[in-house]
Amino acid sequence: MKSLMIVNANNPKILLDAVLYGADGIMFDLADSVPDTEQDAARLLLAEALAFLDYSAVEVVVRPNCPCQKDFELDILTVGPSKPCDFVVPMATPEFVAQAAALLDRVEAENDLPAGGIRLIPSIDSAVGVENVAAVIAASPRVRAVMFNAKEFLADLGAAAVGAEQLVYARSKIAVACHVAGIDSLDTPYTGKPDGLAADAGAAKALGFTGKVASDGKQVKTINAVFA
Amino acid sequence: MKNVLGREFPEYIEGYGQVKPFIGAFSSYGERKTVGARRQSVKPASQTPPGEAKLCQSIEEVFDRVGARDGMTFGFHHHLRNGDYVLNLVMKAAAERGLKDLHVAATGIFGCHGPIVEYIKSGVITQISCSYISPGPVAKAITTGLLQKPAIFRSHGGRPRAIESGDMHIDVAFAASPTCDPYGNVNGTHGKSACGVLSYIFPDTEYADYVVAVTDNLVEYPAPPPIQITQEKVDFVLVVDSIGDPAGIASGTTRVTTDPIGLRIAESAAALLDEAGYIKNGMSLQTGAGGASLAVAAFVRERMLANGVVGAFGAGGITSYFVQMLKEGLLRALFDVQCFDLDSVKSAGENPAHMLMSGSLYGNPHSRGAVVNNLDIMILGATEVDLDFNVNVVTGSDGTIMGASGGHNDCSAGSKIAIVVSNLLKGRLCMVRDRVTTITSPGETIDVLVTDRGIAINPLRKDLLEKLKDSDLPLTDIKTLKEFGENLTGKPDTIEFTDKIVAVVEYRDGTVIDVVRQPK
Repeated sequence: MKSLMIVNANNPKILLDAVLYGADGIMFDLADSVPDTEQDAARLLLAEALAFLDYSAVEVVVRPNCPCQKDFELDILTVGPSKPCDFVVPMATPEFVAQAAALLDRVEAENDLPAGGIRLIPSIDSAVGVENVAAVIAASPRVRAVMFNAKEFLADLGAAAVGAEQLVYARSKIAVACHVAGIDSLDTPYTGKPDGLAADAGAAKALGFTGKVASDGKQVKTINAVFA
Repeated sequence: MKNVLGREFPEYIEGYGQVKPFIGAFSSYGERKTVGARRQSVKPASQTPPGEAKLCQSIEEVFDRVGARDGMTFGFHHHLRNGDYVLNLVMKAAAERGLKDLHVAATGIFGCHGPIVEYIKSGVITQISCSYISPGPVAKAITTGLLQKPAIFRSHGGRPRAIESGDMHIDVAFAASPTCDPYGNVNGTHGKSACGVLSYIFPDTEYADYVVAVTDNLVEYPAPPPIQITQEKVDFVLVVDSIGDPAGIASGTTRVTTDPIGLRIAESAAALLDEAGYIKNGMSLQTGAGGASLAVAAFVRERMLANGVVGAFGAGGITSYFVQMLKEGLLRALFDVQCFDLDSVKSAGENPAHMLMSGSLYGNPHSRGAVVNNLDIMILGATEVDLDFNVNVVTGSDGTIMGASGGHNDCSAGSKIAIVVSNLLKGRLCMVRDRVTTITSPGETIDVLVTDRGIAINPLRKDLLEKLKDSDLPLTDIKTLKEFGENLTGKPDTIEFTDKIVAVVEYRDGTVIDVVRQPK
């Protein structure tokens, strides 16, 4: 997967149009981009959309709330039966990955879905996540890729974002671990000025990343070109 | 009666007259005669008393000297687009003078012309004919039946045809003139209100009883080159504080889209043109006003560069993309009927290969051959397309007037390939319909519909279907697009209309292709 585009799961128009941007994967976000008051609506809307609309041309990824919150379980149990390809595991630790895998065991058993069919994409959002990335990957055979969230990682370190050089260690560690495990590695979403995207994606590719998260549809074309 | 497209209307429409029904896009060519023009000749300066100079002191003096009276038709052009002040200024003075029953024959009407709604209500204006209208107060006033007579929508080629043939007589033409000398030589590319070419007012300057140049930049005789309207066409010159705001030129639909889906639609249109063999040396290209249409030019440019292609000309409303292609040598010439941004205004004033074309040269089907006849590629927008590829650009899916023909049906008829680019879903509705609300361009002149959900080729274009049969492009058919769209949006309820005809849509040859009725 070269590009994984983040979209809000609570916007019907975006649910309809998401397949049109040319991204290899679409990450429907039920967490940060959905206001607290719309959590239930977004979850139900996404479950319906995945069951009704044709997403066969893309890899459907769902980003649930953090496993540290009660909505995590509800998100997976509600949307899981609509058979997304993958769930993200936010703030990933080996324990959270195992917890997500156990919920998917239940979803698959209760809905006559093939066991192990729904995969996981742990999100590395912290210093401890970076240090434990190999253990996170090993926590479940469902893990099919790892994504990096540089903003949260730097916040955890207490470092202000100043440039690509401060991410070299974390990026290398993740890219190498994914390579060893034979899974995809997805670089952090880029939020700077549009003309800096290609260089940022190129820096991640140079360290071994196989793709990148797109924070909006305008980034997809460039990301696909860099990782082609 | 019904025309060949099955559209029904009376044989005689009150306020419009006897109807000639549309009989097919290519059925009305042949020998034509134009009407004569009335001219008031002008003596040499030595023989002209001071009070009879062309330069007038006020709009009131202009009205006195043209013998302004009830029932007259005033011609206007829209090159200042949503920044135009001239139409409002003239109609305000007409209202203050107590004139009634006037016909505003403007080439384009924009949101900035909202103040004339008051004169529609008071009976100062009882008829409007135009080639373009943007969604806004005047469009709404027409839709809701405020105008006493039906509005007449003519294409950019159809309006000059109507004037030349005598179907529409202009009593007084008011030419917004960015730079003008006291004897009426007009330059459109210089001055604080420079708007570029003044092409659409040309038939008026040839055939109107009186031609008034309205300027906010009076210069010494002779006005600087390029002079577009020459002195022998102009009766009077009126100086006003401002004829408009050039910032309003690049308004509305003339911005290139930044929406990634719009860009992808444009990219597939360019890919189709390339695969079908249209991107080749000597090619010519025009794009309509509309974000995705304009973006096609950008992608065609990339392919021309990649393939080492030099095109013959770009035409129509000119944008900075076309100016860039001219400068780069990708196009040998531009035929410009209106400047869509300030880059093109500048180019029109400086570059001899950036040529002005009048509305008649552009699209008049009854001329000795309009530029659209030489056009290879035409990229268009649409509000709706039906299963026969008939296109609506006049009404929205609720029956409200949203636009007018512009050059749509001139270019779709003239070009070798006419491509409509659009999102399939618009405002929660599928834009492919069983039957479009209003027909502007007949399906026989539309070759391809490119949407974000697939590409449909008109079955009449067997050659194109054959050529692209092994293509990787997302080809489908128009019925499948409609079903796909309606599966997502549901089938819309039919709009209910009253019997009142609020606008008559003429095809470029002067036949009636459709009418707009007032929605209930």
